Amino acid sequence: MRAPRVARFPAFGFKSPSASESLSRLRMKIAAVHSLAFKITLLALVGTGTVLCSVIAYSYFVSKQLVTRDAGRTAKIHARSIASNLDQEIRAVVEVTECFASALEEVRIDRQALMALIRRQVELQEGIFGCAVAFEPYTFDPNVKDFAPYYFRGGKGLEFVQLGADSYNYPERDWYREPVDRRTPIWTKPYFDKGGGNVIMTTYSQPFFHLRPEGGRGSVRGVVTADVSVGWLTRRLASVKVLQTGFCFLVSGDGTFVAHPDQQFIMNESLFTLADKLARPILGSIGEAMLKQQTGFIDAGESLSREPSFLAFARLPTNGWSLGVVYPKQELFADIVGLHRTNLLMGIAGLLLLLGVSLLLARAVANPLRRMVKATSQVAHGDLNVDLSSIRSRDEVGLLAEAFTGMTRDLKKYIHDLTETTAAKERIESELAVAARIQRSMLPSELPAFGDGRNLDLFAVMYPAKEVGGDFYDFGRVDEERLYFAVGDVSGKGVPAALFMATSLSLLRTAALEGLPPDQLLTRLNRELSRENEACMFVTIFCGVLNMKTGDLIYARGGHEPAFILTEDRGLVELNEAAAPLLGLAPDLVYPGAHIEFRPGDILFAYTDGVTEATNAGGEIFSSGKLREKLTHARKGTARDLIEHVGNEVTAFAQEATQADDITMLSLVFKPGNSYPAPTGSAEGRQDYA
Amino acid sequence: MDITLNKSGQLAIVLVGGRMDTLSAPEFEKKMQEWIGQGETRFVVDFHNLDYISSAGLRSLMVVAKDARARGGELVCCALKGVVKQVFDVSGFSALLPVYGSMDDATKGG
Repeated sequence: MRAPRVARFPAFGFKSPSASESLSRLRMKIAAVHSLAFKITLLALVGTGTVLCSVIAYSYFVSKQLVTRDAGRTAKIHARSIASNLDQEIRAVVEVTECFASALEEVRIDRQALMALIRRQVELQEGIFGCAVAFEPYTFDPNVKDFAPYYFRGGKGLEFVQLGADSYNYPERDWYREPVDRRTPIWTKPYFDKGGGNVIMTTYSQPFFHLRPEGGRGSVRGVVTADVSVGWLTRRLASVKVLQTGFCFLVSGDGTFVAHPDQQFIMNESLFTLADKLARPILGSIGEAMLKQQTGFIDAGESLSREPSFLAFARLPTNGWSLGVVYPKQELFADIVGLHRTNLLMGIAGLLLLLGVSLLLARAVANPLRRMVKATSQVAHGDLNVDLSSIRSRDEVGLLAEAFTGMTRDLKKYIHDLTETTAAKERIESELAVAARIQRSMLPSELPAFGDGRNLDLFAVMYPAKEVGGDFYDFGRVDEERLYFAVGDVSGKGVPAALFMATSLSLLRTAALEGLPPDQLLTRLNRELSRENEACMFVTIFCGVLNMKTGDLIYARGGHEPAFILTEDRGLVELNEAAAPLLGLAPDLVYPGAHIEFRPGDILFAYTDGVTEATNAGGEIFSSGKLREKLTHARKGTARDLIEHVGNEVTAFAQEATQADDITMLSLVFKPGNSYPAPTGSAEGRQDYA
Repeated sequence: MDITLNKSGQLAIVLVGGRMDTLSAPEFEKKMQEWIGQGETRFVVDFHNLDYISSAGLRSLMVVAKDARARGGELVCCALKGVVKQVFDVSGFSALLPVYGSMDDATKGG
């Protein structure tokens, strides 16, 4: 019997090799989602940050250039204006002195008036530290060699010194010697006036002359001087405010510092000596520029102060000095640096805000994705009750979640349907299997013994092509002497064929065991079956009744293949008499019967068309010709031997091809003898039939 | 299997080809029923292209023949050959339905 074919529904789930492996894969996936959020954020930040930094850097660079240019212009103006103020003071000193000198040439005044005039000069002119009128020896008073009254601003107000005293010896001083020799006014280099004003000063010396009666100037009478205190200059310059820590300085015509916040430089250093001393050659070029150009603007680096700075300078036309104004770069650029620091801070704040927004955005995208990764893994493990309703966004992610939910819903329905279908199918199949078992149990399996000492050997098989088929065989004892047997084939297959077969078999067996001969059996069966046969089902039957006492075999056949008898002396005999149509279609048919002598040693072989129509993969059929040939050459043995022999031949012929039709064979061996063999029949064993 | 219908006057000539077995017989039965439904009753089934017929095929033929008869018509078979002819002979089907050797004999007979 065939094992019930029960389709097994595989447990749903795409189980990965192991749970831990799938878990780690899930974690990797979530990490990937993390990195998606990270990537979005990073991309946004890097992009915006780059743009922001470029803009700030560009703006800083350009505005610095602009500021430098403007600062240069302004600084030069500034320097010029300071220089011009200073120059005015000095100019005033010069003018006053020239005036005084000119007056002394025109007018002879006495000692007292001269003293008063000198005193007045100093009092009136703020820029004048001290004033002297020094005469050539014996010129003012023929009795006095050196005469040089000098008023200056001392610690206790105006003080007076007679420079003509031996200790001072003014005729040897530069401020006197030079203008007298050159007969032109000069500005002295700054010097410390020891014994005079006792401060560092520079002196304007204007010679005055004897006027010739014929006109023009004669010999030098003396020199009028006006001192300008370096300290005063320094204080003046210190009062000029240059940014926060910027400062002014003043160099004389040879580059020597005349005024500088650092007192040590004054008179001790020049731009050129400093250049050598500090190894800052730029100071040398600054010096050259300051002495040659009227005005200028130079990047002085760190040469003039500790901080990087710019230098603006302007010449004092009156005495050829140069004024330098030092602007610390840091302070000059303080505003733009401040502005850009604010810009940068605002930029950073903006980036932080953007970071926050990007993170929120990335999370908004990544969270639903992460939830879906989890849901997918859940589904993969067979749990279809995923809830993604919390994902409410109307974007692509939302659509994906919706599609996913739809998919799980469909899957659930599909699995439900499949489970039901499978259950129904299994039920039907198991019912069919039961039906097949019932059907097969209708076939006889044991031959009743006959008590007259004859030797009887009967074997029959039925291999159904499907669970339930339409073939059958039957045999049974009619009385002490007679054995009835039949093979039949019902049209079609499946349950209708099985039902029709059951009907046919019961009717046939009942009538046969009543003792009716084969011809009357078929006539009656045909009549019964043809009644109310709307479906036009039919059956073909070969049946026979053997009288074992006489060896007389009566047979009849309705639309069925003739059986064969293998004989010792007559060869293969075909029982082809008594041909009549199949049963069930025409109620009024009368079936004929035929007689043949069945001798001891003869073997009867009856079959259904499943044997002759067995088909191989090439579409060829086994055919009645081949059956005849196999039977002719079959070894004469038991009934079972013959059926197995034919069965093996058919199997060998059909090979792998699917069995299309039921195969039924019945063999009967009749031997003379005294013992009763164990009669056998079988409805089992598909053996090797595919 | 192939089933084609050709009209020849009152006769419906049905040409069958291939195999008429458990799988294809219902198709034959269905088509024939349709044609009967359309008013055809006098059928000549030409078997000369048919390679094989099983008991299910015979049953379908019988069902259709019965329907045709019920409507006052008839179904005749012709040009049987090979295995199909053997099956007709062995089953005695030739005694239940009119069978002719050729199409000419069938149409004359009809």
